[in-house]
Amino acid sequence: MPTTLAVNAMGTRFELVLAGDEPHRLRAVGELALREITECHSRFNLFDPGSWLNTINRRAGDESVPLDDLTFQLLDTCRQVHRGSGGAFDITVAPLMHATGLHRPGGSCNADAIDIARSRVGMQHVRLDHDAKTIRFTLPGITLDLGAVAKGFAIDMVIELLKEHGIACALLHGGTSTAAAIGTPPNQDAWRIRLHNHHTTAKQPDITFALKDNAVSVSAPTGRMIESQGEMIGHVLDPRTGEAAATQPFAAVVGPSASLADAWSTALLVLGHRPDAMPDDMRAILPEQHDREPITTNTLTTTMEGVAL
Amino acid sequence: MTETDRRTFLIQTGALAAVALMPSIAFGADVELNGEVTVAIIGMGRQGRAIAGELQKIKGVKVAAICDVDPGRLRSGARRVAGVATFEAHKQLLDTAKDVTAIFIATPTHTHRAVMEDAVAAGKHVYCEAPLASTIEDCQAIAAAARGSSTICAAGLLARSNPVYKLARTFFRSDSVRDLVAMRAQSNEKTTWRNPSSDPAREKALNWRLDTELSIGLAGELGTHQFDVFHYYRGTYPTSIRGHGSIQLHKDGRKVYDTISATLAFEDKTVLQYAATLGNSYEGTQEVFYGSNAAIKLAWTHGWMFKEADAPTQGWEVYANRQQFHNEEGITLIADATQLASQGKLESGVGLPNPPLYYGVGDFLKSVTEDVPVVTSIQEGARATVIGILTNKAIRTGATITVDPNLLGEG
Repeated sequence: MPTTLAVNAMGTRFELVLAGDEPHRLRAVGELALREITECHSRFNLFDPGSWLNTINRRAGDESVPLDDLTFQLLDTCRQVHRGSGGAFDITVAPLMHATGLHRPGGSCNADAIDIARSRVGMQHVRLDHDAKTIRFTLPGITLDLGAVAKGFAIDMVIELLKEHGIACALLHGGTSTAAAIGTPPNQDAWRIRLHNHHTTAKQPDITFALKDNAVSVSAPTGRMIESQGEMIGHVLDPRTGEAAATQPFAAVVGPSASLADAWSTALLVLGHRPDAMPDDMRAILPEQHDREPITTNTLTTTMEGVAL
Repeated sequence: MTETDRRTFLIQTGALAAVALMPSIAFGADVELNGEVTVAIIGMGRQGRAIAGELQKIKGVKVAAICDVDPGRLRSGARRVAGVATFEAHKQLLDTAKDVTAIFIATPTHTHRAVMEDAVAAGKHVYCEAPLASTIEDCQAIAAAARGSSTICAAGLLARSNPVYKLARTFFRSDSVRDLVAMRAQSNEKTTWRNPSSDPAREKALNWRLDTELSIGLAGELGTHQFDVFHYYRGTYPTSIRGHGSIQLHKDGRKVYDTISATLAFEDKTVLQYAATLGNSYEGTQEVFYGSNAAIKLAWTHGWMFKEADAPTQGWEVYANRQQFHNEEGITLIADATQLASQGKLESGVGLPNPPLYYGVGDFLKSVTEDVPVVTSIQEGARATVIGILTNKAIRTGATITVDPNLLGEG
C-alpha cells in the first residue's frame, strides 16, 4: 500500500507517492520533503510582498544582493536556459505578464503599458557574480518572475531530500504539469504518466511517458487564457516580443532535472523547435515529432496512483 | 444624506478616530536597522531555517555562523545562508566565531538552557525560541541567566511584535469589545510531528517532541505561544488549569497525545478553552476574544472583528474592508485600511506582508543595534512557558492544577 501525501502551494497541488516498508517513517519523510515545497513557495512567490524573491526585486536595482547557494543555483539555471534558448525563456518577463493582464485574476491587457514593459525585460540586464555569489540589476524596473521554473526547482529539492533519506521508490507531481520519479513502482519497469491528447489533434493518441529516475514537464498555452486586444491568448508569452506563444499546442521535456525540464518546456513552447544548445540529456517532445516518433505505449498502466498530465 | 456623502462624512470623522487608535504603528513596514549586525543561528531544523530565511530579508544582517549536531541539517542550512561558517557544537561556535554579537537559539526545547547559559556567559545577545524550556526549573534558570546578563535577551514569542496583534490589541483595550465573556484558542495541523533522519541512530534524538521524558506536548510546544497572546492582551494569567488528551490519529506507538483540550480559568471567572490536534488542519492556529460588543479573531497574519448587531457604530468600520465567513461578516483589522480602500488597494483577505517571525527577529535586532527596549523579554517567555508546562501536566495527569503565582513572578 503506497503512502500518499499532498500539499497546496504555488497556486496548485503537489502530490507525492512513496512506496516501501515502514509506513510511519515514509509519512514522516514525505512531510519533511513537502516542506521543501512550501519553503520554495514562500521564498520565491512573486505575489507575496514579503518573499525573498521580492526582497531581491526591490534591492538588486540599487546594490549587489548576496545570494545563498540554492538561490544562486536556481538563478544560474535560469540564465543557462535563457542563453541556450536565445531568450525564449526569460525570468525577467514579469513586466510584460503584468501589462498583458496575466498576473491579475480576470486581468485585461493594457496596450499602452506593453511598450514600456517590453523595455524592462531582458536577462542580459541581470548580473550574476559567480565569485561573489551576488545578483545586481543593471536596468531599472527589472523584476524576476520564477513562475516558469520554481515548481520544477521545488520538485528537484524534494527528490534530493527523499534520496538522502533512502527512499528508493517515489513519484511527485506539481499541478499535473511537472513530475519526477525515483526508481520504479514495485514490479513495474517505470512510472507511466499520460499526456491527454486534448493538447494535440484528435487523430493523435495520448502520449505516455515512462519515468525512472528522471523528470518530465509539459507546457501548454491553454493552461490559462485571457482576452487581449480582442483575442484570447495563452499564459505563456514570448519575452522577446511580448506576443503570446502560439506556435503549438504543447511542448514537453524529459530529463534528469525537473527544474531544467520545467524551464525548457516553456522555452520550447515559445520556440516551436529544439534549439542546438539544448543539453543532450534533455529530450524534447513536440507535437510534430510525436507524429513521427511515439514516445512509448498509449496505454496507461500503473498499479500505483497514476498521474494524468 | 446619500451613501457617498455619509461615507465621506465618516472618513472625515470616524476614520480619523480610528487612526488615532494606532498612531505609533507603521503597519507591517520593512525592518530597517540602524547599523549592521553579525549573528549566528544554533539549531538548523525547521525553526532555525525559518529564522535564517527572515534574517536574509533584513538589510544589515550578516549570518556568519550556523550550528547543528545533525550533519544533514547543518549541510541543508549552509546551502540557504550565503557564506556561512558551520559548527556541530554550540560551544565551538561561541569560542570560534568572535565576530558574532547575537545568537538565535532554535535547538530542541530541553536543550535551550545549556545553550542560553553558554551564550550569555560568552557575552552574546540572545534570542531564545519559545517555549524556553521543558521544565520549570530550566525556565527559572534561563530567566536568571537573562537577569544577570548585561546583553539583550529576548524570547521567541511573536504576538507582541506582530503588527496585526498590536493593532487588534488597541481595539481590545478600547470600547470595541466591551465586556469580555469568553476566550478560545486552537492550533490544528495535520502532521505526524515525527522527524526522520538519514541516520537511523539519530532518529530518537530528533524525535524529542514524541518522547514523554522530554516533550511538553502540544500544550507546551504550541500552546505557550498562544497563552502569551492572552497575557499580552489582558495582563493576567490563569489561576487553574484542567484538561485531557488522547491519541486519535497517529497510532504509531507514541505516548505523546496528538489531540488535546484544556480549560484555563482566570480569577475574574473568565475561561480560555484551548484545543490542539495533529489530526486535522481546519482553521489552523487562532485565538478568539468574545466580548459583549464584538469578537476579535486573530490568526497570526490576519485579524478580524465581528460586531454584535446592537454594538454602537464607531464610524470607521462602515468603510472598512470585510470578509464573509458563512453567516458572519468580519471587519479586517489592518491599519490604514480606510486609506487603502479609498485608493482601491485593499483586497479581500489582506494581511501581514511578512510572516510574524520577521517582525519578531526584527524587534530583537533593533534592540541589539539601537538600544531600544526588548519587546518580548525572557521573563515574559518564562511565564508563558510555565503555563504551557502546567497545561501539559494537567492534561497528562488528569488533575486540576492550581497555578502558583510565585512561578510567574507574580507572588
